[in-house]
Amino acid sequence: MSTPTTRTQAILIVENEASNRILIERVLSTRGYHCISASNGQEALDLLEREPVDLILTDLSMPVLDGYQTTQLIRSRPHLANIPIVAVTAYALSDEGEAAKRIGCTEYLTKPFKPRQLLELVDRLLPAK
Amino acid sequence: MRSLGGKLTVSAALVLLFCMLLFLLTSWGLLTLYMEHTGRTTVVFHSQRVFLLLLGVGLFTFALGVALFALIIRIFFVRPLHQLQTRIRTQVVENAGAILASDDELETISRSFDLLSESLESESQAMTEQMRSMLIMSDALMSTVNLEQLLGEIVARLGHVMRSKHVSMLLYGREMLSPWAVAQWSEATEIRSTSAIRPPTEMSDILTASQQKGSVTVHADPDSNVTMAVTTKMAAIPNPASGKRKAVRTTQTTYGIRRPRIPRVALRDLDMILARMAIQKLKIASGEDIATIYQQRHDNWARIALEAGYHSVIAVPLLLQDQAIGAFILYSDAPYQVSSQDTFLLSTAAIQASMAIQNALLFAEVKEKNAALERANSLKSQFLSNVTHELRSPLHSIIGYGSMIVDGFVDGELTPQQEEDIRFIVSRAEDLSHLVDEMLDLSKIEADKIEVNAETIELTSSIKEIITQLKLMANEKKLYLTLEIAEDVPPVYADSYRLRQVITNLVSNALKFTEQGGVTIRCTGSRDSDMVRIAVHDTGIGISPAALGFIFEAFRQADGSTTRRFGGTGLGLAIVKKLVELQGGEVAVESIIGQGSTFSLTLPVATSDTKS
Repeated sequence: MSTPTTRTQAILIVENEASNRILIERVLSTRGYHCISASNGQEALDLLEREPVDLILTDLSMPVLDGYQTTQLIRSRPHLANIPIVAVTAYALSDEGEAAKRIGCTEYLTKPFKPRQLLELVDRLLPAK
Repeated sequence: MRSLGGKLTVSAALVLLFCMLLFLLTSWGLLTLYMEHTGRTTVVFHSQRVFLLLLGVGLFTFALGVALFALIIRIFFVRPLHQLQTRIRTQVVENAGAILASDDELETISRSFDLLSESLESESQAMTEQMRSMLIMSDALMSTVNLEQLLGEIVARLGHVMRSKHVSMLLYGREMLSPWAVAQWSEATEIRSTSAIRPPTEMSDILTASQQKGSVTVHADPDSNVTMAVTTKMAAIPNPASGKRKAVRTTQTTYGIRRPRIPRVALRDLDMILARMAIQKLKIASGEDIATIYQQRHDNWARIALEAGYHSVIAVPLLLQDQAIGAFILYSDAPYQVSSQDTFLLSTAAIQASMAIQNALLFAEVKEKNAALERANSLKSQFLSNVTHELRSPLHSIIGYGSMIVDGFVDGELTPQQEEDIRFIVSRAEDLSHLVDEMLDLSKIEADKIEVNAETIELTSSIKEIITQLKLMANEKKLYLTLEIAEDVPPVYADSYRLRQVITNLVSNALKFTEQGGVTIRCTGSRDSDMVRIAVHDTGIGISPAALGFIFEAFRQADGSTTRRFGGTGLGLAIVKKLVELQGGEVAVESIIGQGSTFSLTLPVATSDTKS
């Protein structure tokens, strides 16, 4: 599994926790994905203006601009309307994942997740070119 | 024979009988004498002398009878009637204050009777009126729970009932040198001018009893712990020695005892002195004619009272369980003699008032405690929610990084021992993460922050889907996991996400406590019934009968030792119970030690209404 396959797709990771962000980056980079990071929704929106991205992983609870608002703002931009967005949620009784899907996220991933689960999901949403 | 008329008839009859007897005897004796004298054997009635003789005897007897009758009447009737008349006259003069003209004695008597009965009637009417007012007051007091309003009611009603000029009520806590609450009532005309000069800040304190004339001022110390003062530190000043009276006046500022914030204008020296007197005596104290008292004893309070224009005063202690909690004082601008009826009335009023005050204070205390409990509870929920949130992030990192190493996402190989150690770290962190999640769940449920979105659910497909994931766990322990569901089990009306949580929880619990055999999920119910029953049956260790009673309570596992053996927090079943109840169902448990347990839940059947 550690054999890196080279891919060209870029993934934007929006997460305010540095440790989680680094973890996701490291796991994804083992598959050769190109990772860009933002620590909140506003940063993510700014980045999206400058760089093309193939998939977005976003945390839901963040300062400045949370995952829900970010998703809605991304979806409101025509050129980003179809980009896959994965919501990263913490386990909660009030079913945040489903709520995220309702407002435009493609999928959701519940924390704590295993690296394998993350890769399975990303690979499914981004078929190798 | 007791009535006057009876006596009169009897004496008249007796006199008549006596006279007839006398006449018969005398006439018979005279006739015999006459016959002997004439020597004849028969009386010749036409003889004129005989006729005249009989007539004379008759007249004599009649005169004698009349004299006798008059004498008897005089002795037995006229004299007592005279006595009665004089007595009535004195009574009338005493009671009605009217002096009767004594021209016609009978008329005098009748008029005096009228006057007397009139005065008695008005007195009894006044008494009835007062009693009625007292009854109404007691009703009003018992139904008033707002303390300030209650104090206002008490003084206003007392002033009204007792027709006083001014009423003050002071309430003391134990060891308190000045009152924690003051209520005053004054006749309407006087206070209207004073209330005009009052600063607007105090206007809010003024409560007017709607149906009474007069003005009410109430000051209760809002920040002092009144409830403490009355329920635990209840009862006033324990210094009955009269020598301390002076000390009391000087101690107002010297001691470090917390002074309640009653405005200085409301603390009248006269009120405080008189209240203290009543409280120390534990009895009603009165000054019926203050002017005389001042002339005789030169008392300080009498001087102040006279200066304020009061001529009589009654101070009544408010007693609660033989201890004084305060006093009320009635002022009047004329001397007034306190009757035993007043004393009775006032002590009754005092008992009612102190009970009503206690009532109001207890009510306030309960209300305050409830509010405090609610605050504490919401703080607890908030705290729990914050803490769990903060706990989760680092845990997720530990699990994520650990898994990354174990799953080979880092360069280099691990020794089997290292791999096992890291797996252990990850699995313990996962346990902790579950615990935190469950705590969060429970706090959310308890704070009523959980929404249930019920919909019609086909049980067969949804339970099969849930089981797929749990089968992995069963396979690991080499246990069976089967679903028994009849084809005619109707769809239920429930929240699919909550249902998944509940069944996952029950089944993973069952698997956790089972070493051999397995777990069966059984769904029963028909279209005729209201509820569908889902039972999770295992062949595990079972639960002791004692533990069955509290197994659905939070933080309880059947046995303290099971926590160490099987892990888990004991929150799962509490959450299950609450989630099921939120969906309109119930949970139940049956178990035999060593043979297994059956946890079951019910869910409402989806009806045609709920389907839409």
